[in-house]
Amino acid sequence: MNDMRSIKIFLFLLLLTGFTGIRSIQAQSDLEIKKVFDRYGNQKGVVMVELTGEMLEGYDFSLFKSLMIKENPEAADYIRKSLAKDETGAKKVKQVVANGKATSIYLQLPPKGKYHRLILFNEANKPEHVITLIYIESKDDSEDVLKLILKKNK
Amino acid sequence: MRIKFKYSMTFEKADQLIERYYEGLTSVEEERQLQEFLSQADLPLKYEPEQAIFGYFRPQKQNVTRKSFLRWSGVAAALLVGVFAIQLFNDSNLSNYAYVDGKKITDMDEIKLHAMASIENLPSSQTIVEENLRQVSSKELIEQQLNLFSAFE
Repeated sequence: MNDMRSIKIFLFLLLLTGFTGIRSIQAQSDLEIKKVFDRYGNQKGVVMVELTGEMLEGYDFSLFKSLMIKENPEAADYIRKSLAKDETGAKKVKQVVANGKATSIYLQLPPKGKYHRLILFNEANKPEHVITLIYIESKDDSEDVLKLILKKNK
Repeated sequence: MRIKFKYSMTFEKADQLIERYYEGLTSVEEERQLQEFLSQADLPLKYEPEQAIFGYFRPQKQNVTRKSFLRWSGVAAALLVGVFAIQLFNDSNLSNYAYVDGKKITDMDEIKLHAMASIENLPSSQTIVEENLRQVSSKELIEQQLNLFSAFE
């Protein structure tokens, strides 16, 4: 009887490990910005994109998520607070501050498994107020990905 | 009416053989019969020591344990495969999409256009450098102005 119990406990733990593994595949699930996507993704005046597998031309991303929010300064403050939490352990690649507020933040997150992760945030006021938040997972080095994005934007 | 005995020999016969076995009087054939008898499942507990001597008791229990282990492992593996399959199915179906004003879009060309638009919204390296330089110039300007006041000390 004890043997059977041990087997059942062992197999339960095996299953639990399997489920945990599945959850950890979603590398952004541990990040605060996930809440931003969940909160604003379906709202009016917002464009949310998620691409996986299918690669954007010229970019080799495993996962690409973006949010464009128009005329919502409150959302910008909410995102800044979220980014402040996600900054822990991350490398702040670039930051632009205007009037005491960060209007551009580029974060290089510690890799999760084989994936390098980047968060890019920008708040533009002209010609209209537009917030852009991008989350990228790539097998390529995140610095190379960032260089490629900035270079292509010239 | 004759009741068929479910074991290969009667307990009385088995007891006699066991007694002969301990006394070292059993023939090869009798030992074979005894082995056959003791290898049966569900024997009364009194035969446990003899089963252990003939090497049947322990292996039999391990066999049961191994069978259970294999059965439960199979169930666990099937469950895991099922979960992974569902996950993969969901990923392939739901991972490429866009929401515009709350409306879901699944047309890949349109999704890519929106994705590219968001990338283009990011300031280029040059813009960032210019912005930072502007910050630096403002700081220099402030410092210059403060220096003016320090001249009065």
